[in-house]
Amino acid sequence: MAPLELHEKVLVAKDFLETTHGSMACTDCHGGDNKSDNMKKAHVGMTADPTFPDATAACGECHAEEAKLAKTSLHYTLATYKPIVHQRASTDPEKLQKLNQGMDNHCYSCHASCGECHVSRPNFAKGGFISGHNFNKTPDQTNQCTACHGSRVGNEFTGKTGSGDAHYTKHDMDCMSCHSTKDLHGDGKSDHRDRYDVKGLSACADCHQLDDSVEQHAIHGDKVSCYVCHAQPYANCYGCHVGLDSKGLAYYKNPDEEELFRIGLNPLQDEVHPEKWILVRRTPSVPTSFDFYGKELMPNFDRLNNWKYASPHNLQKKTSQNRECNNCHGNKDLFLTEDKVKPEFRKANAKVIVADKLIPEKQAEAEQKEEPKKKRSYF
Amino acid sequence: MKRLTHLLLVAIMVLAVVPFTAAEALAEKVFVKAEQVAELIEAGAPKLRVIDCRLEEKDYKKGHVPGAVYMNVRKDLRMKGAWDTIGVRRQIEAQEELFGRQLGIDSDTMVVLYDDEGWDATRLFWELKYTGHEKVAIIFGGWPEWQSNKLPVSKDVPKIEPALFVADVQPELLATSSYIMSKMGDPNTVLLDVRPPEQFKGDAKHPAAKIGGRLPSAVNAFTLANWENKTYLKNPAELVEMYADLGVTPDKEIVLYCNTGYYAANSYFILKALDFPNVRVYDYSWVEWNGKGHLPKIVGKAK
Repeated sequence: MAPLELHEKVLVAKDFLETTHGSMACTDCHGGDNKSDNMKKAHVGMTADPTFPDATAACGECHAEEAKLAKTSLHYTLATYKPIVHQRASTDPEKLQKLNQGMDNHCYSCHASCGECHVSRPNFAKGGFISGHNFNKTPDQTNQCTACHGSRVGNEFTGKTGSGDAHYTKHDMDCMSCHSTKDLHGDGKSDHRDRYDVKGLSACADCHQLDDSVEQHAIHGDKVSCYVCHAQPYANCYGCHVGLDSKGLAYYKNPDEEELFRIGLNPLQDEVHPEKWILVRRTPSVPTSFDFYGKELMPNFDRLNNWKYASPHNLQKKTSQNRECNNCHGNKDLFLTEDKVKPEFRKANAKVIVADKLIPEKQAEAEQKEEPKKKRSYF
Repeated sequence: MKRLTHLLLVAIMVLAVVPFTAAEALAEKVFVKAEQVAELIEAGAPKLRVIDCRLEEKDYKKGHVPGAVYMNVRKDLRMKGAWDTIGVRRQIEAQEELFGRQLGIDSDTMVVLYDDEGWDATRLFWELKYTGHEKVAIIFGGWPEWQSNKLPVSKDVPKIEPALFVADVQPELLATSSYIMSKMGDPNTVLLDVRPPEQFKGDAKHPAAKIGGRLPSAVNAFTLANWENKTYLKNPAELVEMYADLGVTPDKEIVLYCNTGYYAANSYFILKALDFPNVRVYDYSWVEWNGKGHLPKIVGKAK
């Protein structure tokens, strides 16, 4: 996404003044003093984004429910990060403080406010109005959603990596076609276990009736996650490290990235995700991620897995693995077996790793419906 | 003494012919295995020109396939053309100069290419084929494969003997806008847009294009999605099936386009690897097409 021109970032369009929001005084939302003819005085108390950290004053009068939900929305709070990292953290208060400092500088510098989804590009993408301060009811996929969720989700969805997601490439759907307001504004809870623990999240079955008319659906039922059969390989990151440069600016280093496809065991089978088999993604966390702030800040790293539930946004009806039974059955390459996890992370990922004996057996040739295909080779 | 000299000469000739024949055989397929190339180099095969097409010359300087010369494809093959097109093919005389005098290739030379991004060597591959050079192949897996096989690496830069490269242009490998217009609606021709789906839909555009969009009737298959880990082409049976689902089959003429011809050249190589006989590259592509008002377009929202 090309950066916005400077004038585009700040220019308020004339047609904005004809909208409901535009008919209000600037000061109603942004504060300041519109009676003063002195620039400095006029700007006293002014705020560029009046919707963060609390949107109640700016939005609540008309959008009471949304403004209330915003307070607990993960887009605002990123509230699941700390509880997860704290499970791995040292109990030493001094070390915990250093870890929190690191998280505040890096993890919590990123968020999205009402304004960053409905008026401008998010701060993460250097901000700027996307349409002359006009409000868009549904966020814009390119300028807003993938401005943050771009390197992985955006690239997968629009096909900058892989073949793209059929919802986008074939059916012209965008992020908002699947992700409801509830997904984005949250459910009002503030103690989510992780980002999948939001009540009423969008699911494939909302649109796709999983009846038994498709033989493979009948066979695999709810034992296998939809992603296992319909996703393409996806990005995995190893070893993210954070720090501050000589000017005090936060940096992230993630030298290793790889496109992989790994089927693992679901460690948290619940009502929403009852499947036994899921896709797992290597998340970038390692015990030394926050070493810039202090040594051994996460001595209990093994308490949580760092191969985690994955929901790649690159779904296709036909994929490499669902073309033939034995592309999965008996194909150890696709499963997260012990040899594919670094020895130091095997304990942490014990519940996710697939033992060789659990890999579904190869299907007999006779049971396969299709005739064996002629082998092709490049040589 | 005379007899001994004669025997020695015969022995040298026999040794020279064996690797030469092996190098000739490579021309039948578009891929060559890294180990095969290493064996040819080890045997001192004559008329073999290995070209390192990696993006960064500094990587070449750190180490390369022994005897390989370096070429920055994105720089050396790029030029500005009419209609603000970029990355288009060079003038034929310039190609002859580049291939013959600078790279030492003549009609008998077996050219072996490799890169580490999966789409630089393929652009040169198409250029060589377009100028009539038959004997060219790409190392399967490219530089990563060479390294993972722990094959010999050298830092020496070879001295190139200039050769005479006489182009024999193959017009059936090229498509122009007027050619495409003449084929619009022809059921035996498939127009294949090989850019990322976002550009095909017109939600995004190449910086050199004025608007986002596509050619009417085109189908889309992003060329880089055909590769695993950049340099390893996916299972051929799977790719053939994927293309068939789009109506891209070997019995049809396939016209490829992208923005500036680089992705299209990549797909040309892929379809050749899959034995498609009739494939053309529209190398002026969308950057030209979008600027010609009289040509039909499906316009997207990217401006």
